[in-house]
Amino acid sequence: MVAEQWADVAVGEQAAVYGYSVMAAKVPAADKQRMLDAMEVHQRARDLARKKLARIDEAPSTPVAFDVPAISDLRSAEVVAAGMEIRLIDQYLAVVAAAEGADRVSAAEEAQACARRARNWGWRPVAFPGSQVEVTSADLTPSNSVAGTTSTPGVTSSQAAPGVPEGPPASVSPHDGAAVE
Amino acid sequence: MTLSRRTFVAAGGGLLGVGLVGCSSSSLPLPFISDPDDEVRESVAASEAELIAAYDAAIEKLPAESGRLSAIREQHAEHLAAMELQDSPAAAPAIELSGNPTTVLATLRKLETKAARARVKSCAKCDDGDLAALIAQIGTSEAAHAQWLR
Repeated sequence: MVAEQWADVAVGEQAAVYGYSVMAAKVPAADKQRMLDAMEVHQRARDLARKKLARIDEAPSTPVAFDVPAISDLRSAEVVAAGMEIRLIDQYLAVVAAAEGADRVSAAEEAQACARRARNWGWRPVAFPGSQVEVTSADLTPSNSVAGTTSTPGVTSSQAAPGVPEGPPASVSPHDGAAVE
Repeated sequence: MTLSRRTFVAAGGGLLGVGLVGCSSSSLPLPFISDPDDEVRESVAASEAELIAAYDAAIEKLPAESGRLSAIREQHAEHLAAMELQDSPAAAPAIELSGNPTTVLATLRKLETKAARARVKSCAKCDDGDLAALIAQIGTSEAAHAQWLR
């Protein structure tokens, strides 16, 4: 049933909205707008997924909170951002497999948009995106940051902070904790 | 025409059926049940072969970019293999890429963008949902390639 797959997309998109909103507050000012732009794109995609669910009389599930990995600098934010996009690719591909017609096309196009955004965060493309859910800094090429290598108090670029962790998984995942929206 | 592994399996099943009814005539045409998605597989494979030929030409022309271009070429080879055709598609004609490095990369970018769009159309045609997802996944890789070439 494709409702289940669209429900996963709706949750994944909401996680991305939340993740980008958190990261926008933590990256250098020059990169903040990129995070906010991405957040808006995911808001629209989330709303679209919710409309799909409403059309098939399914109420979207609404996680109350999300866990966001620690953001210590721009590079770690890029790793999280790329990881969110790659994870969404998997969710859209699940819709492609389950759906037909316009829904399948729409999901395939959204998956491609996620891949392009992941690339914009520096993710190095692979032959079959989505199967590697955990994105680490090792999967990223040099940053596309607007801020470049300029250090900002409290938020440093990857070059300024070479110790970017190779893990943990760069995912923003729902949990049942207190509401944080 | 290239044949997928599935087509051979289907054809093998048909042969078994012929044997069971006891017909031994060697002049009977072989039953042939083709996979309805074979045409999509072949189309994607042919497109991947063209992309590989384009990257071969680009790598020769831009040795300084060979690291990135070879990595992408290898991914297209994986896409081609994923179509599981029994026979490789006919080799794509050699492509000549003209112009300076910027022009060559722009040409590759256009090819990747065109391929990514074609994958969306191809996945829409698939009967098999898993194949549709695989082709859509290949399209995501190509969409990212186009971005990587900027």
